[in-house]
Amino acid sequence: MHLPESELDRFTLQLKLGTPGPDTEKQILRGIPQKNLSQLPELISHEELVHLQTEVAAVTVSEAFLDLTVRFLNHSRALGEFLSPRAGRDLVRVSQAIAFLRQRNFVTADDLKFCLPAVIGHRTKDADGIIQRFAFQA
Amino acid sequence: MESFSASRFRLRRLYGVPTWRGLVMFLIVGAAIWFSMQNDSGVELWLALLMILLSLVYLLEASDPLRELQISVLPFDPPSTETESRIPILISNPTQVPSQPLFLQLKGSRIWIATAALPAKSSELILLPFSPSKPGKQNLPSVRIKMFPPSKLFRFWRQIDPHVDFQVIAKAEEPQPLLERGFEKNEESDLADPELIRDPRMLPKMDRKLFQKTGLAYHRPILMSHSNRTLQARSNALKKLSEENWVEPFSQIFKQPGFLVFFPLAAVTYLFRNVQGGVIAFVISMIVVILFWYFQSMKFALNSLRNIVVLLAGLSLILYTFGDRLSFFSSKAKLGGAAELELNPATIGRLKGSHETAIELFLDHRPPAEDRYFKTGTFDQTDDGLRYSVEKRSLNISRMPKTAAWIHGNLQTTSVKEASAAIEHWWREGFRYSLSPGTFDGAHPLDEFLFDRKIGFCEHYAAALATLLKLDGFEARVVVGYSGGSWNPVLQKLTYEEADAHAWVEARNPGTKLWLRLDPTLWVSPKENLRGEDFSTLYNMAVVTAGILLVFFGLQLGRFDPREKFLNKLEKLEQRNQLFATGLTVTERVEHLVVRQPSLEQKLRDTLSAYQDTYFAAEPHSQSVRRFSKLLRRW
Repeated sequence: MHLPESELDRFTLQLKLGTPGPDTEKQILRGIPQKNLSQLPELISHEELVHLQTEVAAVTVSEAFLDLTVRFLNHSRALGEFLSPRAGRDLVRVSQAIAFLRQRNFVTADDLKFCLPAVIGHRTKDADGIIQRFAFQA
Repeated sequence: MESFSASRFRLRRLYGVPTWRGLVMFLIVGAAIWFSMQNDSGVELWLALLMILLSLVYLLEASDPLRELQISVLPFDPPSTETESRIPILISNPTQVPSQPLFLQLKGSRIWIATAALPAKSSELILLPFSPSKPGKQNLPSVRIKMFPPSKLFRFWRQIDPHVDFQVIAKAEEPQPLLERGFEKNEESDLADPELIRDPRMLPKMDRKLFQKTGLAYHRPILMSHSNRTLQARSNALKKLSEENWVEPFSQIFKQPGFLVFFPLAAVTYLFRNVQGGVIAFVISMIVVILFWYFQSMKFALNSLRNIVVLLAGLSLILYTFGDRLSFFSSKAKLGGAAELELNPATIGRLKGSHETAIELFLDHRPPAEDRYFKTGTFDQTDDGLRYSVEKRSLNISRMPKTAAWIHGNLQTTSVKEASAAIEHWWREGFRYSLSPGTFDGAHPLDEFLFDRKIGFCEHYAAALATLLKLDGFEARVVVGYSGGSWNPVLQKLTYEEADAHAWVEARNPGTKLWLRLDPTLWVSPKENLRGEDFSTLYNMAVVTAGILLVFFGLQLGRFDPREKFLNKLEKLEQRNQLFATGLTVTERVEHLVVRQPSLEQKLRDTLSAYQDTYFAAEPHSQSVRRFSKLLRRW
C-alpha cells in the first residue's frame, strides 16, 4: 500500500480476503500436508479459459452503461478523487465478468456497483463516500 | 445552553431577466400584430393567440419558478467581510442531527433532502442558518441555490443564471442559541461538555474532509454533539417548526413579474373597452393563475402534460368567452373621430341591453355589394362620386336567370314587408353564416349563392336581398357601415371596432319616401345580434388550439424519455415511503420499495426488467422503448 498512485492504478482489483475463520486458522497452524503440485486436478483447461475470456468480452455493454460509467468517473473527479481512464476501462471489464458470472449477457448498473469497491478501493481514499453519493441510473 | 430553537426561512426566488432573444421575439410579434391590424389581413387573430400564449408561458414561468434545485452548502465566510454574502446552511429534520450538509434537492416548492445521511420521517425540511450570533448579523440575506438546466423553450427567452438567488423573506423564530457557541468559540462551554467531539480527526472521514475544505471544521464538533438531551430538545424544536406549511404563500404570486405585467395590462384594456367582459376576463384569469399556483409543486409547467392541459383549458375558456371580442387586439373602426360616440343620457338608457336600437353608422361610399359579390351590373359611376341605381332596370338579369325565375314564380307582392317576410321564410332554413364562404365566380353568381351554396356573410345576404327586392319591383340599396358597438360606462362612449362592420338593406315601397331598414343577416344567424355569429372565427381558434396542442405534444414526444418517468415514479414512491437513501442502483431501489409496498411488487419488477432490457441489454430502439413506455402507462 505504499506504492505511488500511478502504480496502484495498474492493479485492476483489490480484494480483501479478511482473516480466516478459527477452524481454518487452526488448520493452517497445524500445517497443511504438502501436496505435489502436479497432482492437483485441473479445474479448467487453457482452451476453456480462453473461451470464457472471449465469452466475457462478448457481454453486451450498452451506450447507457458507458454513459453511466463515464458519469461515475466524473462524479468521483468532482469530489476530488481522480480516477483514470484505465480505472474506467477496468470497471467495464470487471462488470462484464460479474454479469457473466450472474449468467446475464449484458451489464447493468448493479454489476457496476458490485465491482466498484474492489476496483476503486485502492485508487481512492474514500470509495464508500463516492459510491454513496452517486446516482446509479442509466 | 441545552435549549435549542431553530429558525425557519421561507425562500423566494429572485427572477432573472428576459433574454434579448425573448424581447426581440415579443417586439416582432407585437409589430406583426400592429401591421396586420393596419392591413385588415386577418392574421391578427393568429398573432393575438400567439401573444396570449406567450404571455401565459411568461406567467407560468413566473408563477412556478422552483424547478429542480440543488442547494450546495458553501464555505462559511463570516458576514463581517461583506464581500459576498454566502450563507452556509445546515440541513436537518425533526428526527436527525444535522449531518453532511451537502446537497438539497428542491422540487416545486417542496424541498427534499438528497443526502444519504438524512433518512426522514418527515418530508419537511428545516434550514438551520449557520450564523454567528453577533448582534445585527442575524439576518441572512440570501441563499445561493444551484439550478438544474431548464428546458430549451424556457431558456429561449428567459435568461437563467444557474445560480438563482433566493431571498429569505420570512423567519419563524430568532436564531438558535445552540449554534452560537461554536462561533463564539466558547471554549469553556465546549470543555464543559465531554460529549463534544473537538478534534476534527475524530469525525467520520467524509465529514472531516468536507469540513476541513470548507472551513467548518471548527464548528463541526458542536453539531456532532450527541448528548441525548440536546438531541431531544433539538428534535422537539424542529418538530414544532415542521408542522407549518412550506409551500410558497399565494400572496407571492402578486409580486411576480408575469402577474404584474400581463394581468393589469389585460385588465385595464378590457375595462376601458367593455367593463363586464373585463371583469369576467379578470376572474377567469385569476382562476387560471390559481390553478397554476395549485400545480406549482410539479415540475416546470410546460414540461408537464397536466399543466399544458390546464394552460389550454384556461386559454380556450378565455377565447371561447371572448372569441368575438378580443378587445385589446381588435382595432377601432377606421372612421376617425367617429369611432367613438358620446351619447346623451336618454340614448344611453335606450341602448342598454338592447341591440334593436343599436346605432348604425353609415358608410355608403363604396361600390354596391350586389355588384361586388354577385356582378349584378348595378354600378354606375357618375361625376359626383360613387352612385348606383336602386331600381330593377339597373340589374343584369341574364346573370341571374334562376333568381329571376324564382321571383317570377314565388314573389309577386305589393309591399316590401310582405316580400321580405317571404324571403325571410325562405332563408331561415338551409342558409348559413360564414366569414369565409369563398367567392362566387360562376356565370350566375347570385344563383350559385341562393340555390347552391347558401353560405355567406352580411354583405352577401344584404346584396342578395337588395337584388331580390329590386327584381320584385321595389327600390332597394345595400348599406355598409358599423353596427352594434360596445358601450363603455367608464368613458361614457360607444366604441365601434372593425369587428362591428356590417351591411344591411334599405328598401321602400313604390311611391313612398321612407326607407325601411332590413337586416337579412339576422335571419340566418338569429342568435347573434346585428353582427352575426362568427363561426369561422371559432373554427379558426379550434384549428389554432389543435395546432398548439400538436406542437406541444410534438415537443413532449421529442423529449419524452420513459426513463425519466420511471425514475420520477420511483422517487415519488420513495418519498411516500420515506426512503431517502442515495447511492443505490435502480434494482436496489426497487427492492427497497417492494419491501414497503408489496402490492406493487409485480408492477415494479416488470418495469424494472423492461428498464434493464431497454437500456442495458442492447441499445434502446423504438420497439423496446415503446414496450417500456407501455408498462409505465399502466401504473
